[in-house]
Amino acid sequence: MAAELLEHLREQFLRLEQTSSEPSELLQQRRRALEALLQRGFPTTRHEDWKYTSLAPVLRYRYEVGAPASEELPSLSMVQGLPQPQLWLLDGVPHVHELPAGVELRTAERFALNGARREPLPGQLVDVEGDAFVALNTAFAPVPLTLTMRESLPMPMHIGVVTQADAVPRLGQPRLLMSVASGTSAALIFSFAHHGANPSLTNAVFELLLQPNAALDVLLWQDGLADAFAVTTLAARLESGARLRVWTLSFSGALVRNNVYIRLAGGAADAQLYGVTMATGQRLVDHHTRVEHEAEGCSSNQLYKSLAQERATVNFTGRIYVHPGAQRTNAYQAHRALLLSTQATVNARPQLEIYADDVRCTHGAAVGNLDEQALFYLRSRGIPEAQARKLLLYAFVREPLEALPSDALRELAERSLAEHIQLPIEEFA
Amino acid sequence: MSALLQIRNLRVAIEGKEILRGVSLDVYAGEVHAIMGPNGSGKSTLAAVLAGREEYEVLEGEVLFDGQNLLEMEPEERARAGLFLAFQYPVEIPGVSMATFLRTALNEVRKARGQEPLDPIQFLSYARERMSWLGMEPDFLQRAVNEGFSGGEKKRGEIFQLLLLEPRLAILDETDSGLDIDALKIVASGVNRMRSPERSFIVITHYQRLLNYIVPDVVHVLFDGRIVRTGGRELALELEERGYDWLRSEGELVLPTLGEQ
Ligand SMILES: Nc1ncnc2c1ncn2[C@@H]1O[C@H](COP(=O)(O)OP(=O)(O)OP(=O)(O)O)[C@@H](O)[C@H]1O
Ligand SMILES: [Mg+2]
Repeated sequence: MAAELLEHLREQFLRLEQTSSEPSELLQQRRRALEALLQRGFPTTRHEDWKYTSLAPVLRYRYEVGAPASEELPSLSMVQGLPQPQLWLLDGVPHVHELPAGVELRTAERFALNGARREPLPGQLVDVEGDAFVALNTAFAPVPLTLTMRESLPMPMHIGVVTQADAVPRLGQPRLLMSVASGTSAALIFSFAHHGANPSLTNAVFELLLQPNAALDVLLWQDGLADAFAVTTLAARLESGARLRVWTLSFSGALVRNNVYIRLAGGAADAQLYGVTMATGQRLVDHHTRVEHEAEGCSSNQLYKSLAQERATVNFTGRIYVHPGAQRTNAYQAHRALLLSTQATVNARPQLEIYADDVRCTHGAAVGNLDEQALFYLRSRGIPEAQARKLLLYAFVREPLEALPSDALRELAERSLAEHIQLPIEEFA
Repeated sequence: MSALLQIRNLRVAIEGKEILRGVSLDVYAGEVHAIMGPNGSGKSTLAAVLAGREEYEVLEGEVLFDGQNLLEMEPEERARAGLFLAFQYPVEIPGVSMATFLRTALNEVRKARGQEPLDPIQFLSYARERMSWLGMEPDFLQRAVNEGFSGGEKKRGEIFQLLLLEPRLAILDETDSGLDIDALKIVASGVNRMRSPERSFIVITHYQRLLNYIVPDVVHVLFDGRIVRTGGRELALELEERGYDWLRSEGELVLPTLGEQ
C-alpha cells in the first residue's frame, strides 16, 4: 500500500523535475528529500513517535500532487464568521486576496537566487530528511513561501488552507516560512478545509522565526476538514524575549496529526501551546508537541483538552526538553481528556528530559469520565439529558479558548466548538 | 381533592442496603412539611429519590406527583412538571456560567408550561429582580455554577434557583446548614415570599430555628428509614429539647402519618 503510493510519488517527481525551472539549490533540496522519503518510507506503528497512530487509512490512496487543473477559488465556506482569508493556500499554491500592510510574501526561489540572502531557505527548523512528512512536503510543495511581518498587525491575518479533491485524491502541501520582525506583534489564523468527493491529505509545514521581542499568536483551526486527512508541522524558533502562543483547534478530519515543535533559543522567551480536540465517530487525532528550552529564564506552558467519543482516538505526546545551561526554566504541560465511550481511546505520553538543575517543571495527564453528579444537577433543573451532556462536554473542553487574544475571536471559536458538539448555540449565548 | 404529592409505602435501597423502609406521606397544595431526623436516617435519600437520582433502587411503593407516576419520570421531566430540590451539597460545574445554566433551565421549564422562552436580556432583568430579593452580588450570574462558592453562597444560590423556576413542590435539603443568622433570615424570607396556596414545600432540617422563620404546617420525624412521628410545629420544639432518643425507646412503633388519616 505504502509502496504503491511511494512509487506513484516517485513517478510524479520525475515528471515535475523535468519541467521545473527552479534554481538548482532548491531542486537539490527537493531531490534529497524525495530520496530520503523513498529510502525510509512512511513511519509505521513500530516507530516510537507513531506508536498509537497507524497511517494505513491515509496511505491507501494514490494522491496527485502539483497544481490543480483549475486555479479558480472554489466557493468555500471557511470558519463561520471569520472574514474571508487574505491569503489562500489552495493545494499549497498561494492566491493572494489582499495582504495586510507590513506583510511581505515572496516565493522562496527568489530567496535562493538572491546571493545576499537575508533569511534562510525553508527547512531550517524542521528535519527535512528525517521526518517523512517534512520530506514529502519539501520534495513537492508547489511554491515554498516566505511571509515576513515587518510591522505589527492590528487584526489577525486569515490564511485559508484548502485541499481540493474534486476529480482525484489530492495531496495539498502548503509550505510557509514566516518571520516576525523584532518588537512587533501579529496574529495568524490558519483555517483548514477539504473540498471535493475524493480523499485528500493536507500536509502542511510552517516554520516560524520570531525575532527578539516579537509576539505572535497562531491558530490552527481545523474546522472544515470533514473526513479528510491532515498532517501539520509547525516549528518555531524564538529569540530572546519573544512570545508565541499556538492554539490547535481540532474539530474535524478523519486522521489528523499535529506536530508543534518549539525552540526557545533566546533568553526569557515564552511559549504557550493550547489544544482543543473534539473527536467523534472513528476520528483519530494525534498531537505531538516538543518544547526545547535552550536558553535561560524561558517559560512554556501546554494546556490540551480533549473529548474522545464513540470510537474515536485522541493521542497526545508532549515532550519537554531542557538543555544544559537553560537555568531558571518554567515548563508546564497538561493534557486532560474525557473518555466518553468504552470504544474510544486516549493515549497520553508526557516525555520530560531535563539537563539543567534550576528548573520548575510539571506535567499532568488525566483521563476522566463525565461528572455524573453534575449531569444530575443540570437535569434536576429541567435540562434534557442529551443537552446537559453536551453542555458539560463543552464546558470541560473550552478552557484553552479562554486565553484567546480577543473576545470576538474567543466567541467565534466557542461557536465553532459548540457546532461540532451540536450544542444549540442560542442556549448558552 | 387529592394531595399534590402522595408517597405510599416507599422502600428504597442502595448497594443492597435498605435505607427507606416504608415511607408514606401526603403533601397537599399550599402545605409546608418539615422533616427532621438523626444523621443517616434517610432524609436526603428520600429527597434524592423524589428528584430522580438513578443509583437508588426502589424496592416497593408508589409516588404520585399531581397524579402522575413520579418514579417513572426522568429527572428533567420531574423538574418540568414542577418538582424542585435544593441540594444539601450543590454541585460545582466549572466552565458553565450560572447565567447559561439558569437560562437554559428556565426556558425548558417555561416551555413545559407553555410559556415563551426568555432571551438573554429578558432573562437578565428577571434574574436580577429575584437576586435582589436575596441580596445577591450582581456578578453572581457570571460565575461558574457553584464553583468556589462559600457554603452560604451555595445555599443562597439554591434558593435563588427556586425563586427563578417557581416550582409547585420544593424540597429543601438542609438549606439552613452553613448559613449565618442573617443569611438564614434572608433565605427564609425568600421562601416565604414564594409560599402560596398552589405551592408546597418539604423542608428537611436538623434545627428548629429555621422553622421559626419558615413555619411548617406539619413536622415529621424520619428515623431509621421510617416516619415514626408526625405532629404540629411544637414537635420540632420537643425534638430540640429531648433529641431523638426518646423516639428510639418507642421502638418500632409506627405512628400514623397524615396521609393515612
Ligand atoms: N451512595 C450511597 N452509597 C452507600 N450508602 C449510602 C449512599 N447514599 C446514602 N447512603 C447511606 O444511606 C443512609 C441514609 O443517608 P442519607 O443521606 O439519606 O441520610 P440523611 O438523613 O440525609 O443524613 P444527614 O442528616 O446526615 O444529612 C446513610 O447510612 C448513608 O450512609
Ligand atoms: Mg442529608
